[in-house]
Amino acid sequence: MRANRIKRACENKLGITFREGGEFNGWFVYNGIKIARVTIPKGRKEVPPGTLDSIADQLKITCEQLKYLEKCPFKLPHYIFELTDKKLI
Amino acid sequence: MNQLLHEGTASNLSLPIVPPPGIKQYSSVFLDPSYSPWQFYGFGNTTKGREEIEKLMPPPIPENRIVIKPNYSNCSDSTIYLPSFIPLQPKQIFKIDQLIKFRLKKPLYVTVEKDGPGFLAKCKGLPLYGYDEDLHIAVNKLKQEIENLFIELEEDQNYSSEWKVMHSFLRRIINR
Repeated sequence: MRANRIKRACENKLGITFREGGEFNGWFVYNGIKIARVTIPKGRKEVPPGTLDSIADQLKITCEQLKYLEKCPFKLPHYIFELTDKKLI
Repeated sequence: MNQLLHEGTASNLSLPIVPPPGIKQYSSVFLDPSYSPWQFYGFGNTTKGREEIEKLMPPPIPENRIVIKPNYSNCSDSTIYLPSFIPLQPKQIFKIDQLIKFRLKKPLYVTVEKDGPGFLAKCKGLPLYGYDEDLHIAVNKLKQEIENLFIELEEDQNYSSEWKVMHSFLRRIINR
């Protein structure tokens, strides 16, 4: 999975706005409350598996769900359901 | 009495032990120059299979070579030293005592592991990571992440209870 595609999926599907610094940092905000903070490396390089796991952890989803988020089936309602299920929101 | 000692009993008798010709005496143990170590290890006198056995044995260390096995587990931030010729172990823990701008009241333990072509630095208890192809930059990126998170949490209080715990933890350990 490429870093720029993960970033685009987070922006388009989860509505995360990234702040540019050394890396891209952004918060997933639900009802005005910051829930999850995600960091995505810059560039278009393939993200290695360990880093991919860390990104999934930051979003509080599994690596499989992150792959689905990047492709298509996993969307904002699924993500909110996932967070509600884990009693995070 | 002297007579008794001179005659001695069987237990008092100390007879000189003379090794047979061709055999050296070594602290009352006779060492035969033709003695095979294979015999000692139970392989008998035969040299059959000796090459196979030698393959299993570790290679001898040259006398003039010093083997240093550094342990980086207890290294503090200022002494992180990992030359390129020493491979990183699957997971190594470093102690950091300062961030980029801020100093730490208590050290933080950073786990660095190999991830693809680079290194992944993580801190237990904080959902942050630093990734780079260089180990030092990966650790520095993680430090930057910790600082950024602390600054962002200081900006406003609209975050979930999970982040409140992290904020109080960072307040405790960061010396501004």
